Amino acid sequence: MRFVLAGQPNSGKSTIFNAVAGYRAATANFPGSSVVYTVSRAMILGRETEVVDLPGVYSLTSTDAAEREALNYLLERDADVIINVIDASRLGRSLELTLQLLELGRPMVVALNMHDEAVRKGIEIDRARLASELGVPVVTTIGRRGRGLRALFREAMRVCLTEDRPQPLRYDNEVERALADVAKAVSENLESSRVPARFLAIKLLEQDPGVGDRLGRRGVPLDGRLERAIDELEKAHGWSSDQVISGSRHALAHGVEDRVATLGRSYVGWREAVDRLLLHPFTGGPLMALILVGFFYAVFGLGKHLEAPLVAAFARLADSLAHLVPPGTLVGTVLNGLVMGISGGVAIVLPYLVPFLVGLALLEDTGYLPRMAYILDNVMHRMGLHGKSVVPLMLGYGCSVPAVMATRILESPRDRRLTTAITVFIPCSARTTVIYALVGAFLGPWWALSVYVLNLIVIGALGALLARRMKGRAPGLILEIPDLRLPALNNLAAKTWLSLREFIVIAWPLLIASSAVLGVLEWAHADRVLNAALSPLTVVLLGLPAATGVTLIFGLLRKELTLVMLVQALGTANIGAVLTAAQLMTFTVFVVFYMPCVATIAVMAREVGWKDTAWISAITVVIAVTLATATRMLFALSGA
Amino acid sequence: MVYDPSAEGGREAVLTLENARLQQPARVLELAGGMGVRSHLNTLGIHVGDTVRVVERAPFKGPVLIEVHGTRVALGRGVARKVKVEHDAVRSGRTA
Ligand SMILES: Nc1nc2c(ncn2[C@@H]2O[C@H](COP(=O)(O)OP(=O)(O)OP(=O)(O)O)[C@@H](O)[C@H]2O)c(=O)[nH]1
Ligand SMILES: [Mg+2]
Repeated sequence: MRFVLAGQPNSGKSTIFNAVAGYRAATANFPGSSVVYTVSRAMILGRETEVVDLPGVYSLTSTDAAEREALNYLLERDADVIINVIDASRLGRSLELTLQLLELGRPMVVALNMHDEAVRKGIEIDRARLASELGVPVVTTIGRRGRGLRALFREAMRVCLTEDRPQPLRYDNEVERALADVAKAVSENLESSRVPARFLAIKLLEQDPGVGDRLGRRGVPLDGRLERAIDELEKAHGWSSDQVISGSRHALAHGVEDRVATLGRSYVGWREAVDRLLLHPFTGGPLMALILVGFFYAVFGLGKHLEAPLVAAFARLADSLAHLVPPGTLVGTVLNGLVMGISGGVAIVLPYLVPFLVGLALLEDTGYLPRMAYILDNVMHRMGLHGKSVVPLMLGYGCSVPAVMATRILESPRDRRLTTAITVFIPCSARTTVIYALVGAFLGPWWALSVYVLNLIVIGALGALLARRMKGRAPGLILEIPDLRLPALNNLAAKTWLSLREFIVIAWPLLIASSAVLGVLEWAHADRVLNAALSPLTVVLLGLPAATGVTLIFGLLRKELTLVMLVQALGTANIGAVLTAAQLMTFTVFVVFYMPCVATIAVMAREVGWKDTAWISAITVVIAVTLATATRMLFALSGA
Repeated sequence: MVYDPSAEGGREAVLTLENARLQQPARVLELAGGMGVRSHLNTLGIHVGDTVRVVERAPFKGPVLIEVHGTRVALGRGVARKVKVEHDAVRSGRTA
């Protein structure tokens, strides 16, 4: 049994999915937070079922890669039940998709989600009336609090077992006549189809390139009946046929809304007031700068306080261990390596990583990201992009992998390539721990901030440069701005945990293994060979100790490793005592810019292809070497 | 396709979301531009005949924030320019 959650972006599909499947699909308060579908097995009312969370779609005409993914799923796989999740506070618009989903002719249930938001806006919906208008069960839910979900899945189970197939709603007479003609032609020429002929007819009349091709490739001859129908429609209405259909559907949806919803007084509170300030022409920009710098300081301050006692504790542990097992022996070296590795992971990475992830989750869940897209649209145009690219870029501060995936919300392939290229330059949370723990902790927060500023300048310049080379122009920003929302604490925790678990489950074993490997290398003095091989770069060009060589190699696996391995290679967590200010800065600048990690390379290759991945990676190395060398020179010139 | 206000002699200037009055309801008259932009706007619930309201315009030719059917949508200037509108007040003023 397969339940498929479908609905418009930001309606709460992933939230409902997580409630039954455990937290595994990322939720966030911006349209396009899911860009791939997620499947999970779940026991629902004592039955084993498969639940699928799709990316949000505004309509069954796709405009970007994320929507295409959802669409392909709906058209090519069999859903036993479609659970259409609706944002009750945007009923009219949501129904436009609902009407299209009904046309798929699959058993369906409507989840009237965000009931709390609707109440707040003074919208009252007659649920029974809506159910009878649509001909499918309607269940009121508040996904965030788990309200109504039992009833929702009970209804889903019921329509699944009875195979209640809904009837599509009827458009106006002329459209219906055209539809009947084309549907007849389609079914005469197509033996079997997963989707009803009527649905295909609509898509053909809408001249939807995606679905039209799907049919066209199979070579269905419609004897010119489609062209005739389109012609007649356009003559009768004076509009192109796609507009006739979508206009007719629009009227239908809003007609239903008018009959079932009554609008009372809406509640205006702090959210509206705050939003005015956040988006105001005068205050919007400065507030954004304040929020971001505040975020930076809060994370740094918290991290520093957590780091100190942890580092001290691990240093004591290493000391007592050295007494037990003498260093220099194989066991001693490896054990010492392990302690250093673990202490690096726990004492240095986690203190910065946790507050950072919480902060990022806050930005995502409050709905600030799309607001940044609005404010920065202008700036992005300088790079030949538009504001929507801000979303993947900001996600890049968390991890480059989901950030590259998030470029799927962009409409044009060119924008996706360009945004991917600059997204990998954004220091991810792993690189951020390097910046905080090396530069921030030993040189001070202003220096750390300067690394971010330098990074942004480079990204801006690179973007502008690349945009000039990649032909084509961004079509312009079209982005829904969701309401501001106070994040739910449990959701915030679950989300932070999801990212953190990835660090613990994947990075830690890798970290510990790498530490052991480095221990063995050191014991066999093999690290010197690697360090010597890299010394033209590390020692000659960048003026770093030769021991940093291996750390850069480990950093290719995961960026946290550079930091942790550095602790081990230098033999102390008090790196500031071993490296000069110039060396700290040079090393950090290099690490921030050079080569994406293997996971990022893999996802880039999948999303934009090997060719792009190769040249983007090459650029990162060139920029890293240039900037790190320049940093060293500047320090030398200023006599520091 | 490109609209040049100077060619219109000022008075009968075409009203679009780029120059419509802030906070005043406006009716969509035409979604100019290609099928891509038009169908994208359609999917977000913006159609000819709908009432929209410009909430804010970002400085330095930044995007335009509009409200339509209770939802806020940010439109880049280039897109906003393609949405021709009229204010109800303007129309009644003309008939009077
Ligand atoms: N107030 C309120 N908020 C909700 C409700 N359900 C979900 N949310 C919040 O709405 C936002 C969007 O939820 P998601 O589950 O990510 O939405 P989605 O439909 O998966 O969105 P896309 O993946 O972008 O299509 C999150 O911030 C949720 O916490 C609800 O019933 N009431
Ligand atoms: Mg989702």
